[in-house]
Amino acid sequence: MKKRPVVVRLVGAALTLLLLWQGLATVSYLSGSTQLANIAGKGTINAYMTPLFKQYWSVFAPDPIQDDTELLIRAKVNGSDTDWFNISRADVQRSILHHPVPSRLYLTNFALTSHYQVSAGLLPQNLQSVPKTSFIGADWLAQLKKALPGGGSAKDDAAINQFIKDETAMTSMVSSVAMARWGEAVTAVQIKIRTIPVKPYAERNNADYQVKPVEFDAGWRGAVRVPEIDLAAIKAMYGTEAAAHEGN
Amino acid sequence: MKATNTSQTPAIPTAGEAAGATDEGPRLNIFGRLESWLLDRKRAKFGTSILRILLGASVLAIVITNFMDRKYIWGTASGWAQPYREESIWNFWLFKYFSAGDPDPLLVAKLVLLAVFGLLMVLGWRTRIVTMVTLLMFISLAALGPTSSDSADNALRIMLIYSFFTDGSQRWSLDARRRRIRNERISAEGRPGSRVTAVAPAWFGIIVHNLAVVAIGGQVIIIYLVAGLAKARGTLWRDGTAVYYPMHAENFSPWPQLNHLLVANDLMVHLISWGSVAIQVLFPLLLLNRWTRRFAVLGLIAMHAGIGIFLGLSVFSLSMVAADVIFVRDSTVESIGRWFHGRRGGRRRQPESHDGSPGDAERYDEGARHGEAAGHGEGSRDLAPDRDGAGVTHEDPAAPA
Repeated sequence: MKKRPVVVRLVGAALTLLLLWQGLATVSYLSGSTQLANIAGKGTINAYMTPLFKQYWSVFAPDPIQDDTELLIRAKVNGSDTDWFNISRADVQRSILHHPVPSRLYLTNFALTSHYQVSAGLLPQNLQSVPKTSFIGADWLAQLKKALPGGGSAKDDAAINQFIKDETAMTSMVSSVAMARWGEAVTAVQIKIRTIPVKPYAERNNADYQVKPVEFDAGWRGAVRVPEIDLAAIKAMYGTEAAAHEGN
Repeated sequence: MKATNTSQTPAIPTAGEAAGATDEGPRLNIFGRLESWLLDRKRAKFGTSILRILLGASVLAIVITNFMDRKYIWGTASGWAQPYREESIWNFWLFKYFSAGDPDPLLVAKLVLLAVFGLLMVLGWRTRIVTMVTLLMFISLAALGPTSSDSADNALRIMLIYSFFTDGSQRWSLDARRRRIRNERISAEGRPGSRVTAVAPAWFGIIVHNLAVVAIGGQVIIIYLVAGLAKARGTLWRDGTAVYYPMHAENFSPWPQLNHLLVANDLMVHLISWGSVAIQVLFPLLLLNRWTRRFAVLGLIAMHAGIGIFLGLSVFSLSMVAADVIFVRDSTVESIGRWFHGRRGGRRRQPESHDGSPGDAERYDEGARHGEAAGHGEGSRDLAPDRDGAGVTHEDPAAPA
């Protein structure tokens, strides 16, 4: 074996051990096993990995996406309900269709919708009807929180807190789009999440086969005016002149 | 034909020679071979350079493609995302280059600067510091759009971190050009002993670079294993129809007609579905043989090209292709270069005999023990006319690339 200074070998060995730790931490982090994830002490590996090496690679797994998710919104303006506006269709047209490198616009609203769906589904069984209930007025958030009392298990409390956060973000976004589209007289907003399955593979050549969309209608929420938000920029994207896609 | 070593430093055996691949040196055990691989010289010169170029291109692509929607995603029209920002894991001063309160002109200026840094990565100018600054800026941007970030950002962030520890400026970079000119000037002035003071000894740079190459390779293997095994649990992947579904989803169809055309054929649907799982699950095994490794790397690059074109996940694909290339040996790139030059009737490129700065010497030898520059003659060995794949196997038995 070639002669080398001891310091070179020592540094090489130390850095190699560091690399082995990195590999072990990555494997433990991704293993999905609580036992493996806590092999270096409870939460140690997660705390080490999360800021810089946070990762998730089960894209399209165990099965790929099999439907299109659409977010539709409508508003109360001067006491009347507007038509539904399909934000997702507008996003696809603006940022995906015929774009070799799509922008993150669709992802932005899709992820928000997905967060909302997941957290609504994780609410305790006795609170599952809350997302579909209307909370109108300036104090809509206080009403919502009152309808979602904590004090259950830690898991249920975490689910409730997560839903309140997702609901706040969703209502803020939808209110901003509604005000940009239909004017600042908007007093309340509502969302509809429509899931349209892709025609099953076995039926792909069956022209008569009709897919059955599933719809989730949330209740009405009091409109939120997000401080200092640039409604003109949103109007340029989702205003009536910029994006059609109204109707059911 | 044996390559001529033009090195002015004492001749040392290559990794392969040291490993007993030739008759000139003693045969080493596995530990000796690993040590030789780790300490003798920097590996995957082309792989790490291509990684740097493609990561820079990814950053550039993110800025350009999202520029028109910047206000809604990150800027003055994104205040609705504040509940998520307050709980960001990156709420730390180091990642505060972009701020939720930035007025649009400031956001534009910051995005332009990020794009400039992406471009500088592509060009390979002051590579290491530019990579670090780009990484910090990019994390800050991702933190600003909490619902605008996905696996593409994970791949890009992790590869930027590892890339920082590699010497990704060894090929096709302004840094390499600057070093070559400087070394030529020193040679012309007849001051062979002249050198720039190194920040760290050459051997340290070699170790860090090579371990980072291993880290990138390891991360890629983990990604494919996790993704492949997760898919193998899915019924649609197992029955071979999985790829049909995202190809018919609007949000994954930049070119719907093209997608439908691709999956109109049963055989194609099954081949792509099963092939995607197989190549990911078997990736570590396919790396063990030169020909299967080439097949695997080409297959994965093709798969990611397909994901980028057909499903619109371009930045993710670019980042993964950048990482895949780490498994392409330097000699393979050189062979392709020679073939390309030969096809064009061009003259073979002359060896770059002095690529490395004293602190970034490509080889560690007796002189480097004392902090002196090494790296002389490296290019001439790498560009030797008989360096085809077989030759490389002998020279570099433990190389991942």
